[in-house]
Amino acid sequence: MPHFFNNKRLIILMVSIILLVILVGFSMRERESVPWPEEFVRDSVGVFQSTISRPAHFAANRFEAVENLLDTYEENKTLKQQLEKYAATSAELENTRQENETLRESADTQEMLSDYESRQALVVYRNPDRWTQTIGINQGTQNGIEQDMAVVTNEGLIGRVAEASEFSSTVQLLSDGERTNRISASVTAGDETVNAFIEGWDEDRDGLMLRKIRSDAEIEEGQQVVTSGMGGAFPSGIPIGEVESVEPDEYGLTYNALIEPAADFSDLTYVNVLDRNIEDLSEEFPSLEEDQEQEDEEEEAVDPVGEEGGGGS
Amino acid sequence: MTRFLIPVAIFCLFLIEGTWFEILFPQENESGWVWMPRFALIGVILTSIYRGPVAGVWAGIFVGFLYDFTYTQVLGVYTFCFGFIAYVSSYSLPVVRNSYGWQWLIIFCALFVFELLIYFIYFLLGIAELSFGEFLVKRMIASWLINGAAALLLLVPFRRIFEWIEDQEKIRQR
Repeated sequence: MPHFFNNKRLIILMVSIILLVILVGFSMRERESVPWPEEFVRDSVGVFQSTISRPAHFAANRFEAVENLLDTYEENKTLKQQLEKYAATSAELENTRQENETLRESADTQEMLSDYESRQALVVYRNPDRWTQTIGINQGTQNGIEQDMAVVTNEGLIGRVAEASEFSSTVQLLSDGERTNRISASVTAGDETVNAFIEGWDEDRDGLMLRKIRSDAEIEEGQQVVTSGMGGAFPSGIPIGEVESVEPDEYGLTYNALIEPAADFSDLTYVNVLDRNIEDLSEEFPSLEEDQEQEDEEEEAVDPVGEEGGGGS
Repeated sequence: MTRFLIPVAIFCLFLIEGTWFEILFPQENESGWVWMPRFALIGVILTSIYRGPVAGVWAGIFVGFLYDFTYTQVLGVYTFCFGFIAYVSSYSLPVVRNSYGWQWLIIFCALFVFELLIYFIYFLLGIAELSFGEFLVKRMIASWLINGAAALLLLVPFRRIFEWIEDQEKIRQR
């Protein structure tokens, strides 16, 4: 290195460090919208990524097909067993659906917390450094995608739209572990529904943390966790995962549960972005997002069945 | 034509890194090892070895810019680190240019400095939560293994490209 750090270069280094700090400071604050140069670069790179991702997905699916072929026998056995249950379940579902329809008509509601439109999108990249868990999809605001929409696979919830530009958007996965990434969820424990919040990702045990469960709730292993639809842009009833273990939180006032996510975050091809139909939910329930701290006292008041009726009328 | 060859090659590596690699080799989280492909970085380092620090730094800023805008929500980190690495690895001596061994060693050391820089910046910003020991085992060694192997594959084709570009430049000067 014949030319190492003489005066001029030292000044350039200093200036670039200052620029770095300014840029980081600019982008670390919560941004409402993405500045246009960023959007432009992202969209143009997205075109290339979208084209080259198709053959890659195709090849990856071939590998998987071969793997699947190898354990077909075992799978067939278990599937046959499940098929017997299926007939009973589907009859029950049909029954419930009709009942629901009638009840809804009698209650005169058109909109439900669980109503949404779904848009399919192809995964075109994934952040290779894994410090932040994000993926890119090939649909943007042109296709009706907006910030904070829920992103799901067939198995369950995987994340939310972090930034949407014209033709592509970035999805922040649940495994990203940011504490601000808060999702209101509910667990069906026996006859009652318990509301709590999904906050953060436990790195050591590889699971989602369900926090602020009220202390008298009977949460057990194996219970299903779904979105409650009461905070922000997520519709209700999307599976999140299964309760793996329950423990009291650091103050002993509420419980925390470790949730094993239903969806597999490692191998994603197609995802669905859910657009909730109910507009301006926050106007109707302005207190919901602010009063999360007083969750315990308010648990009785925030009865999901009551909310749904109120939301529609 | 010759001017755009290097940026295009590096851009392809950038796309392979985020799209092909991640789709073809999906990573399970359970083992804790994180395989971070840094193929574009290898291209940038080789550029600054063969074409000098100025070309190298520009290539680094170009990729870092793409990286920041598409993959991360925090701007500037990768632009700075790519540029910095391109500058400190610009050993354009004939000994280095003629030996794959030296080039590989420079890439190996540059990877260490690069991952360390990214880790420290992200640690300061609160994005990285790994302890330093875990970082060394789970990320650094994995990065050395995968990118060291990738460097072995990339050294020869990149040398061909640079030699071809130098030939073209000589022809033009005549």
